[in-house]
Amino acid sequence: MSEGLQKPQYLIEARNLVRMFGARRERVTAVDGVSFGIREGEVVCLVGESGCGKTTTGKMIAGLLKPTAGQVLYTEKPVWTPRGDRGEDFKKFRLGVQIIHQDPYASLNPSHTIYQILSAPLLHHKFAANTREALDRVIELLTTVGLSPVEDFLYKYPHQLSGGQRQRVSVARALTVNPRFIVADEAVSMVDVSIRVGLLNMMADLKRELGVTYLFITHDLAVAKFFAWEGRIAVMYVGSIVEFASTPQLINDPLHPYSKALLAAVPEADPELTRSKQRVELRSQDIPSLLALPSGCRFHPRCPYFEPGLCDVERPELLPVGNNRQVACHIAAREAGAVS
Amino acid sequence: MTTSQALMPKTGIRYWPGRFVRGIGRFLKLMSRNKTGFVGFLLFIGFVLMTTVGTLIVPKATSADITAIYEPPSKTHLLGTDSQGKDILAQIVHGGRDILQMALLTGIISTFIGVALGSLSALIGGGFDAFLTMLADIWLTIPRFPLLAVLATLIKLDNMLLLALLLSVLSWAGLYRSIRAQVFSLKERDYIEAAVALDLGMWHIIFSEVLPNMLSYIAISFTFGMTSAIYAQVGLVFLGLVPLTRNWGVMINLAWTQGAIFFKDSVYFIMAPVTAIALFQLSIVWMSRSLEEIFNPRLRTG
Amino acid sequence: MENKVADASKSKVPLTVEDLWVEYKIERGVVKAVRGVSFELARGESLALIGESGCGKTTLGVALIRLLVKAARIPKGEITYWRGNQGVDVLSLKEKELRRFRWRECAMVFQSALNAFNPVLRIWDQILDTSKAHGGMPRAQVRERAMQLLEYVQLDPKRVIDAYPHELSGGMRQRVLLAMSLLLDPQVLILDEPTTALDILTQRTIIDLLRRLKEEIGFAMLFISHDLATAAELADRVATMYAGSIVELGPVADIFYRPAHPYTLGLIRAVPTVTGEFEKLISIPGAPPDLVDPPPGCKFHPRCPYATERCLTEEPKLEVHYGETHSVACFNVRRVQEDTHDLQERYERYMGGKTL
Repeated sequence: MSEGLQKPQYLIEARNLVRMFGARRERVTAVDGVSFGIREGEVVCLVGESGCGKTTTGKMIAGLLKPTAGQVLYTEKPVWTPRGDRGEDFKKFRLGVQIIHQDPYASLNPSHTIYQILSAPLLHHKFAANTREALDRVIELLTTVGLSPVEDFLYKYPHQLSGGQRQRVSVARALTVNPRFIVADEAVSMVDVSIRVGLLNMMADLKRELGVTYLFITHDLAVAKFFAWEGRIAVMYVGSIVEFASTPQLINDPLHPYSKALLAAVPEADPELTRSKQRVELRSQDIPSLLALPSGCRFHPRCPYFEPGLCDVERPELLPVGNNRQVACHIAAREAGAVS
Repeated sequence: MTTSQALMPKTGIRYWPGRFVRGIGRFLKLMSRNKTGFVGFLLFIGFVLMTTVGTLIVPKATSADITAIYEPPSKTHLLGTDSQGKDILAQIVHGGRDILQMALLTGIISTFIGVALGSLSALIGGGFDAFLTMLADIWLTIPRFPLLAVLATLIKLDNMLLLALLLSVLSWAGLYRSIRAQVFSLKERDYIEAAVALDLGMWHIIFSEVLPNMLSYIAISFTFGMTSAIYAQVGLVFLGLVPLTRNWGVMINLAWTQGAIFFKDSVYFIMAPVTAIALFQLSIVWMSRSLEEIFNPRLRTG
Repeated sequence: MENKVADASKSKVPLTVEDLWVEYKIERGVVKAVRGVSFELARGESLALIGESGCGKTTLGVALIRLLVKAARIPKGEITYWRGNQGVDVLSLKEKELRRFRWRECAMVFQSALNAFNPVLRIWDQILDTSKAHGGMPRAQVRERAMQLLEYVQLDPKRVIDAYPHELSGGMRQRVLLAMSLLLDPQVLILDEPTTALDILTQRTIIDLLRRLKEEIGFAMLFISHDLATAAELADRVATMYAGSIVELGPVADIFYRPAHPYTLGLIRAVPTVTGEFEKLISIPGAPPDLVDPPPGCKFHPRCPYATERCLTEEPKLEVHYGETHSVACFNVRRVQEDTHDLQERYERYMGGKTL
């Protein structure tokens, strides 16, 4: 890269991503127009309830699912050609973006040892010239993810490891190809509470030491807050982002009624805090089915601030409000706009 | 560097005799976990030994002896004699090799076809998958045995390899479908997705990620391939459509054509090959239970 | 307000557990899943049993209604259910009495709300089957009661009662299960991970519902959870389980604001709050022990920053610590306490809020 070139603004960018599943009458839109950009070294959390499309978005970002429409850009270059084939720089993207899965019991091949799992990508992509070099690198990686003494793990099979240890192996496997970007899909939600913080701290260290950028997908607001305190949180609801703001802003002063409802509803591990919370009463408990989406704002049938004639007619766009934050709500945008 | 040397995976020629002996020991230990499976395994080994080493010990029954027709079991003829006074045991020992070889050969070829087509179909998907699936569906509606019988009259099936190939081709569809379904379910696993993200390539994904987790499944398919091959072959031989050397199928055929079922004395002549076939089939089916366990990666330790 | 209902009935203790042990055989040996657990459950109170996977909390819950798997056995211990002043020895109940005990006196709601239903039967048929199996009321009466209960758990009874399980959402199924467990008016309700796997907004409705049930019906509630937040929400008392034993037991404020066991403290320090202040979290090193071959002495010592020589050889017993209500199994309570001063302020705030 020449000196004169500007550093790319975004490492990864999603432009109007849409993903549909199924055919004909059963066709559902799991992700419906998601756009965001992530700068190098940043942490972005995607939070939302099950079925909101956060995992599908993550898989499109990682190039494991082709978007039905829209584009993913890696270092400002499109990942897919207009015809939906692999773009020019696909190979760079492929290794530059890695994924860590949720289930520690399904993400490692049960018939391979830890050494085999970690050395395969090293040898395949010539990051190691021979098995000796591969072993050195594997040892290094295991130490990086906090699995030491390494000889206790090298020739073990995944089923001989605990859930937390397996997740660490998954992280090490992603690191074999020196990625710049990691999509962590609920990476800690199946790990026991006492192990979880250690895992999160280890992943945060990677950010500091190796400069890894994260898209961290989770349903757990507490984990999102802890991991992305210096980053941003995007809240998803039924296929689209409803609010995108810096973590402290979102946690302390949510704008979208759905974010407000979530924060008011989430049980806290502190009796005083959790029992003195102000509730947000929703108009309905039903999560809309993807087969019969409500008109206008997807949240309007449940929203306590619902304005007939506006919210059920016009779908709010994700608009910038104030300082580096966006919200997709007619009412919140109006109020924030009045302030700024 | 020194620590990493100590941690190198222990491979290389220096280790192989020890590893081999230990490997056999572990294999037997795993096989014996399932009692029925182990009995089947021993029975299977017994049959293999009988048709290989056994043929060297038991002389071929070549000379007819009209004075000793349809003799019941005795010290000289452990399983009695046939319509020509030949020793039945000797015929059983010598008549098994064909059947066993055929069964193994067909098992290997049909498993190979099924695994190759099934996994490619599932991994490539799209039009290729749709075409093969349709072909398999049509293929499955064809009555196999009658077709085989007709083919046997048209083609001269005196070559074992040719017969095995024909049997395998005729039976590909069922195995293809089950392997395809299996690969489809494995394909959805997170570790396959991780391998895709790591760009390890189709070759690695098939042979290193998918197949090792299907070994028990493949082993069972293999044993089923063997058993159906035996039935098909014995059937053909029994109908006299395949002129192979004297084997268990031929023995049944002879016993049948010479009216053995009408003579009370000839019960040994017809029952001996029938029992041999049944026992051999049983040994395979039982053995597959142990194979299932042996290829289960969760039972492996580092 | 809430205390009135509880106080009036708290004199009665419907369930006591005394030195209960449960073990089961696996290929590698014997798993000691529950090791010498004792507690009592009072009317109108909710006790939370918290701990990580494999700590024996679910085994304990299942043992209480004797639904253990075949490989499990109870070598020692007593479970007594009190009908008025008359104690019933649960462990010696015969099959027929046990059935009566399970639904009419002590009902359990299991974790996986979907698997608890037969997918081909409508909700009404499942309710009817339950009622039949446990000494039936007349059909019409069951129907009426079921409709009442479904309404009580905030479902639309007409819509739900003729639905198939798959037509209901996870939260709705959980509520149907709750309604079904109330069908025969049990005195004790055991809930296994009642809100796990539910979305936040659904979790909230279930939590609010459970709180209302407890206040209005006044039965004893034991709920099993790995989630500290659920305990903070719902529990009057909390028991922390580790490696098959209760290591700390006390009122909810004591457990959260002045924990005396290093493991409880570790858990609290490891779980972030959402709307609270941003805090640095501290993880507990190591992994839970293997229950086939647990470490000697205190089972937590390999992971414990406070461990001393004594902990390596001797296992501490659960002993009363603060007042009569807070007990703990640890030799180093003093030193643990010194590290909890920062939480003290919240304890006072919570207790102050309570008495006002």
